[in-house]
Amino acid sequence: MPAWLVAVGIAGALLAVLLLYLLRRTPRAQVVSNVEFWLKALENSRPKWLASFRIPLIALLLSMLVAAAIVFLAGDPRFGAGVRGTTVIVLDVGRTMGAREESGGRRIDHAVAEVRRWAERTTITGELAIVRAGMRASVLLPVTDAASDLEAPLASLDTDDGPSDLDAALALADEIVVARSGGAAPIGQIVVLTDHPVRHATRTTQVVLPIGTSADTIGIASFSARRVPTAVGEYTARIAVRNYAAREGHAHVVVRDGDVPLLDETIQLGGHEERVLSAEGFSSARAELSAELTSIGIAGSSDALDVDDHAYAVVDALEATRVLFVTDGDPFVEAALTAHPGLEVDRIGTSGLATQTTASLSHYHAVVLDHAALPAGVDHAAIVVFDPIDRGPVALGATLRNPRITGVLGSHPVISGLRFDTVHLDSARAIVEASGDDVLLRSGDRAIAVAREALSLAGRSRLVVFGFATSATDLVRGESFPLLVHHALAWVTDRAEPTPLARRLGGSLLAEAGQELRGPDGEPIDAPAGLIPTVARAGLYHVGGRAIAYGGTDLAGPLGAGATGGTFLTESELPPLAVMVAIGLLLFMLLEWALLHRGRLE
Amino acid sequence: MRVLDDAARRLLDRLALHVKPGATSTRQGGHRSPVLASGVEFADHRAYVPGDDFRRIDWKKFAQGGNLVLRQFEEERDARIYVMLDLSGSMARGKPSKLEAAKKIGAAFAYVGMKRFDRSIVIPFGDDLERASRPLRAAGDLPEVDRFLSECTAGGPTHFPQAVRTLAERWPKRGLVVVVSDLMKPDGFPEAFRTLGALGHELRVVHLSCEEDRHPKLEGELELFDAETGQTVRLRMNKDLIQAYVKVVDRHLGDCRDACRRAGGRFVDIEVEASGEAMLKKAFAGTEKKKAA
Repeated sequence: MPAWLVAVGIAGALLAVLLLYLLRRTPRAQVVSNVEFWLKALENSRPKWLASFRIPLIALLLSMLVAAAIVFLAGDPRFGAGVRGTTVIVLDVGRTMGAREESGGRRIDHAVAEVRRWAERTTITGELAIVRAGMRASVLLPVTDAASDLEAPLASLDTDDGPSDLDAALALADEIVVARSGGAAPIGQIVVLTDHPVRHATRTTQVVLPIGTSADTIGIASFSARRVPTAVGEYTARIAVRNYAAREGHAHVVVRDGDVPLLDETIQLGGHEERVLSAEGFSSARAELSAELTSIGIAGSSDALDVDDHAYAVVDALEATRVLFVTDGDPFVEAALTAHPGLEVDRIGTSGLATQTTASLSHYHAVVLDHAALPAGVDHAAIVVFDPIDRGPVALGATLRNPRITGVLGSHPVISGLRFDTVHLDSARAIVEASGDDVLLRSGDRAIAVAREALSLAGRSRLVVFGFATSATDLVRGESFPLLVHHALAWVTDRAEPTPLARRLGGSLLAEAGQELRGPDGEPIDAPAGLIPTVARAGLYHVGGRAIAYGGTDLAGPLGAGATGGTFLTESELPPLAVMVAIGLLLFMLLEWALLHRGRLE
Repeated sequence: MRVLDDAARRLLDRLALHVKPGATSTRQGGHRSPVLASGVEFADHRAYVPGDDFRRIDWKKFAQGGNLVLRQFEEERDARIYVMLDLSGSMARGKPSKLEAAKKIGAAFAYVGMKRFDRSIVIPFGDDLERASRPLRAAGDLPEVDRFLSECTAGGPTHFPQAVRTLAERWPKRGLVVVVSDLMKPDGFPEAFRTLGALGHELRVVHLSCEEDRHPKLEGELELFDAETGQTVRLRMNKDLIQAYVKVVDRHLGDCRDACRRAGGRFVDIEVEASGEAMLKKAFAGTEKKKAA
């Protein structure tokens, strides 16, 4: 409605009221014999049943009620600058807004219904914008004065799997109002629909509408998987399920590697109890793990939040340990290396060592030397030696005939769990111990197997030397020899498997040029420059050939009720226009009532 | 214009004023004087001149000699009748106006007084005494009464105590004071009645009221104008206020009535809407019937 038309209407109404007042209130003249008798009567008269001013008082109250209703319905006064100008609705779409309410529907659904109500009302006299307070604040609806523009943005609205950045959204809303006000004092208001406390102060008036009542949930508090360091190809997944309600509950826990279930179990949880479960899997390939809670029940309540019932993890493919085996024909070591499922073994003869350099050897995780030694000036950080030669990495002593193994360093990882009490050695070279060496096997006072670790500027290097040839022992005929080889390689390479945790929601995801980017449902994502600046949805993303898990288990927690609050940087000096008009009307009516009863007051 | 028509005069001819013995003056009049016991006797005859009271003509002597002569007695004390007529602005109210009724009643008292050779003086008052009539003694003075009263108009405020003080100063002789007024002034009248009683006057109060004073039929929001002072007040009329007004007026009239009676006087209420005959009868209520001449 044009402003001039409103002004004309108001002026006409005021003029009509004034005329009616003047015409109605002019008293008739009456001559009487003596006014003093009337004045005495006035003093003496007491309304028996308040009839003399009951009706005028009721009329006054009704008039005030009607005036207040008109003002409040039309003007909708609030604190601050009122509803003139621009209204920006900040809609919280954080993870907890997906919680279901006891009254039915999700919090976000109630919030959207409230948005529609406000849109209808504020677009009558002003303009409206909506800021989406997700993990990143964004404008959901640009400034408009047509409520019908709301439908398209709301149709595709859904909550994020992560927390909302309410402060950023409020700051954005504040900037919008100030900009629309021409940079002067903000004319408008920010309506905040959220289930969290509002702590960000704005220049613009805030109207906070709390959403949500207290609710219960059982959710996944953590989910991770890692490869078992002592079992090649094996990995273990660990899941913690927590009951955030005070009452007992239950849930059905399923952990899958792709379509293969690793764990399928129903658990019972007491109030505020957490249960940790583990599941094992075997695959040297990449494992894409998902955890899900279903059939959740809470005594006297229900599980309100779905987003905390899912978690994701990735176990990267087992990368083979690359080993260079230098031998002129040792079938036992070669068999032990071959039997190791996690090794990639390149075999060369001892003559082939002459062409090796430190750089060429760096391709390998470990070098196994069978009666060989690296050329001078060629180094490697992980070496296992069988039947060492004099110009090898360790100094050698005399050759021992039929040495008996008298000492075993059982605590060392290389020989941990292995027995040598029945092992026979035909011969062995004594190894000259250096400071810091761990003597793995001892015959009398002579070391016949050592483990050495050195730290230098180039990094750490490890060396295991067995002073006997595989042909000179019956050790190679037992089960322990492959284990011995494996342990030795594991120790010298020291390839600790990191525990791959899911990335946190809110982080970015970058696909390099040429890499395809797919979302959790396998849908291709067309991200500008291959960058998703803020990942807001949990799941397994695929970038090229890699799988990356994004999860929000660290955000799991109890569901609180919507909180009220709002702080202001400044307060408006004047009350809203509608309030001032209402006050003026009330004063006018009080003046009329006082003048009407002037005789009584006198 | 005659204030008293023939019917009224015929009615008044049958009435007389009873004045208490203490309220007499020194002139001859138709009232028995307390000094009668000292001897009021026929003294002499004198020739009749036009204007003399024809009741004093000695008809026996006329029958004997054919000459009109008057009997002269020893001096008889006569009563003075002071007819105090309220000419304040409130007397103009009413239909017919209270002033018309007051003139009629004032003229009636003057007529009856003159008929008995009393000395009647009509004294209008407002906030003070106004110009009084000359003493009226004979029937021939009646036109003078008519003329005097016709010139009287209502207006201005009322201050009866001041009028009584002036009366006492100008006419110290005791007599019958007839106060014809609507008494529409909250204060002053009871005290003045007591003063008149204390001065030895016989008091007769004729209270005139109109419908507007007794039962005002007013409603809505009004701006009341005082007919005497012009004071205004804005009021919203309602039943409670009117009832309170009636009570206030009744209480005031009751005070006036009590004061009049304590002063030995007689108080009469007359409604101006009544007929002239009824008014006159009520005004003279309790008066002796005319004795046979």
